[in-house]
Amino acid sequence: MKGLRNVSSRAITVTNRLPTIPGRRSKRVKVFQKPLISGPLSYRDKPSCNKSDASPPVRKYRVTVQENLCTFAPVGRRARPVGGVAASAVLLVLTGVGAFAQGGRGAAPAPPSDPHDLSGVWELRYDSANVARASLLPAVNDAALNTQLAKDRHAVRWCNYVGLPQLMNGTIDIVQSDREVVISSEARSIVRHIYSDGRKHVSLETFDNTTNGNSIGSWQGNTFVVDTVGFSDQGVTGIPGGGFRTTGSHLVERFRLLSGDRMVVTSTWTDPKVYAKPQVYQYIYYRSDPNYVPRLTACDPFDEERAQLLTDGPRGQ
Amino acid sequence: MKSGVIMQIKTHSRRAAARDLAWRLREKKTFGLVAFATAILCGAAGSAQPPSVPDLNGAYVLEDVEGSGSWTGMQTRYPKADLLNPQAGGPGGGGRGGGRGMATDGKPHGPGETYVVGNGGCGTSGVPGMYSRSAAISIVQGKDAVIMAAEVPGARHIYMSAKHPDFSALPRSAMGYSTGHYEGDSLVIDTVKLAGGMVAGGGRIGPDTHLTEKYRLLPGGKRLELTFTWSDPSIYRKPHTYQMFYAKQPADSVALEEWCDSSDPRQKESITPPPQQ
Repeated sequence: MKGLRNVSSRAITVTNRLPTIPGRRSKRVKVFQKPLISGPLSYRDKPSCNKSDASPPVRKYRVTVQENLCTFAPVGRRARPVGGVAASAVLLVLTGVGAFAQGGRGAAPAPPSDPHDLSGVWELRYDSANVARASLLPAVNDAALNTQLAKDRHAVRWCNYVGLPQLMNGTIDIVQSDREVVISSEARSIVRHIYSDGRKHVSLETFDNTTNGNSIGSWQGNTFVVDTVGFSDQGVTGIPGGGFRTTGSHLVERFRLLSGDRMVVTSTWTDPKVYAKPQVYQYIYYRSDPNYVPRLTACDPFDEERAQLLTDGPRGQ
Repeated sequence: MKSGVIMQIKTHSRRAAARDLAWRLREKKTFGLVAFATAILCGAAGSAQPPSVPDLNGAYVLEDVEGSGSWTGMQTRYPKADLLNPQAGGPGGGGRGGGRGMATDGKPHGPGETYVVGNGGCGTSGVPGMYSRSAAISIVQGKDAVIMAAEVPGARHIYMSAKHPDFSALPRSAMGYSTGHYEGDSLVIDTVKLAGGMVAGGGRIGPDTHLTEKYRLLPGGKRLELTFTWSDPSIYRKPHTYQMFYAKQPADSVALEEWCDSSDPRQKESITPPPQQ
């Protein structure tokens, strides 16, 4: 299965014919080809697709599915060494086809400049979420779900820290150093620290569980993989698609930059007390306007009108 | 004949060798020029590079260097602010409804006795309050920003690039809006538009108050010196400056969470500490 990484790292070898020195062999140089097409093609407004969307090769391109994202990639493996003119022609044709294929909405989205730099302010939009219905264990019945819902409502009512996954459900600010990636949210939550210095998880015997848990991250190619354990059952515990966070929950997130200032995060929750099979969902974040300044959402637990709305529900005017 | 052919070949070879030598010389000359230009460019780039960035990444815990024994006690050790109008009151700065540590009933309370100090609302991070807490402060130095966060909600985003958003139209906030730069071994941060509140040493924050902070690791790299300088011609006769010190935590430390639930009645209470040794 092809992905963006394969496209962007594809290299072709061409023969350099300028200038040819008598008695010397022509030099062979390796030219790294810029991503010709990266990102969805006809799926630009469709954040995700199913495997059924994968198509057979058509006109040298193939729509493939990677982590439920449609990707439009050139068909074929690494190009054989070809002459300079031929290489130029191939590049021209491919680029031309690519530009045409991007569709009539202006220039093609720019590829990420550094695929390992997630820093920036990111926001969700109306078309950001691809969430499947969770497969819950039989023990997680209506009564259990109602209990969890009541706890979440209490947490919202009293402005408790929301924690994961709720803090990711809005605008987030990512800053990364060489040792960790921090994610702060406009939601009322503690900052997430994702340690990327090669350490292991802290011992859960000594760790005081938190609403964000203990996160460690590492790069696997161009994907930042984050592993989180050590959750508390406090805060807003609901998980998209159904189910909820418990002290036994385990979360794996995969962050990957897409073209056009977008980032996809695939979240996989497992919990032997909640899920019959892992709960997987995907968000696409869009880079915010560079002038946007994220700020913590205000919350006053002693605002009586707000409290009444949250506990009694809306009333007739 | 044979020798003539050899002569021709030799002549051809000489000509070819001469052409090859010319190419090589030209290449060398070009290479020399390129190398020379590269060296100049590198030199220029080197001289234009920003100064080395001090490594302040890590977690820090406030030190009680004066041995005052309590958080309230520490507040009394800072230099007094030289105020234009010492009588003017400022808004309360307590995280739990104002006057943290001050009993709302106005009565003295003995060691171990609990008393109500506020409404129990859980606080958020704010400047300068987040630097006076027992919870650790995390500093994360990114490419274009530095994040400072306590173990309560909220974080400071310090813009390190000259190209930053325009703060003029934004409302005052608990964190204010900050820009930073490096000066030698220090991180210097300028902050404006802080929400009101109290400052150590009896200072206050107004709409036009400007805060400058200077962070520097002391020799040995295990202690952080933080110098606050508050200036506001409408509040202070002269800039109000004081220092706080923090112990750097081991590199494998993890950030914790200072859990708080406003519905918990104990959140309203404090307790008088026993006498300190």
